[in-house]
Amino acid sequence: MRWIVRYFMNVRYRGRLIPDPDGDELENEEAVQGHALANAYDLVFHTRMDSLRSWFDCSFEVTDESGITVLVMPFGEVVSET
Amino acid sequence: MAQLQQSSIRNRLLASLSCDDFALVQPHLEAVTLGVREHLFRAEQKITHVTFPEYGIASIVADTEEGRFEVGMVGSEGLVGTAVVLGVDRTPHTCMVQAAGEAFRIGADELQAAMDHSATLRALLLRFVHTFIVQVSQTAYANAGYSIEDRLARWLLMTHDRLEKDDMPVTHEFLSVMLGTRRPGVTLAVQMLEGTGVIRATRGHVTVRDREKLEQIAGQAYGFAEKEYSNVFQFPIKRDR
Repeated sequence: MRWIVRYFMNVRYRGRLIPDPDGDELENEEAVQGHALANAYDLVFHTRMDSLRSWFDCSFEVTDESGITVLVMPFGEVVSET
Repeated sequence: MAQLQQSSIRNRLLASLSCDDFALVQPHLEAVTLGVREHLFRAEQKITHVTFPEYGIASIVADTEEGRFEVGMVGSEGLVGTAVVLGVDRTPHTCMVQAAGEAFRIGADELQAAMDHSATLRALLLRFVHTFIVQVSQTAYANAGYSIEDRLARWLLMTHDRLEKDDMPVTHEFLSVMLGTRRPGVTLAVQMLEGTGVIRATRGHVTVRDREKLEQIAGQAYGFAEKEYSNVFQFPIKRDR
């Protein structure tokens, strides 16, 4: 049986936490890592945002449904992955 | 059943038809409800009906390997199924309801026959197709040159024009499809706009608080297509409340 869990892709930007109100349904924490990386990659390389000085000031702080942090991933990791 | 009166219709195109042209289409008009996420036509499948929204909004979306994104939207100012007006019975795009409402629809074959019978009917519907092409062109322009905050402001203004209320039911997931951007990017953009006081965001809802400032943020990404619609039809997309 496969368990689907809702994970919240909260973003930390220069000390401020921007909560994800909706969350994404993912199979496990390994899938969370890939999902976070894919999201960060698209934002860093394909999305222009005026209000941020740099996407590299952002990190994902992913929480599960009980509010426990399961992953902290600085957006800079997309550079080390490419 | 009582005969449908043109004076009771809200859809701007149907309401603008001459008496003779309305008499041509009226026997074929069918009242339908528009449910959220309902498909009005699907990519590469025959478009069976042309839909004239009375209330609500339909989105024309492109499905790609990288996901789904919106290329245009239609409310009571227009019609859904521009391909049919141009003599084509299918398109690579999909149309789904973005905001629930009501509409009148007519069979594609019946509309074609009516347009073959009336040059003035065809001309009016083609004028709308022109304004829709301008809107879609502006979407391409906005996507190519504007930030996520600007594009979100544009999308909120376009939706506000067609919904005629400040409170709009939208999730970030839905906005990410509409803007073709990853959801965390939408969440950040919503937060940033909320920080300037132009909108208020609660879970599943966005409320426009300062439309004028929202227009300033959208800049030239918004307004060009809306002005063209006003020039062509001599009335604005956005109705007086």
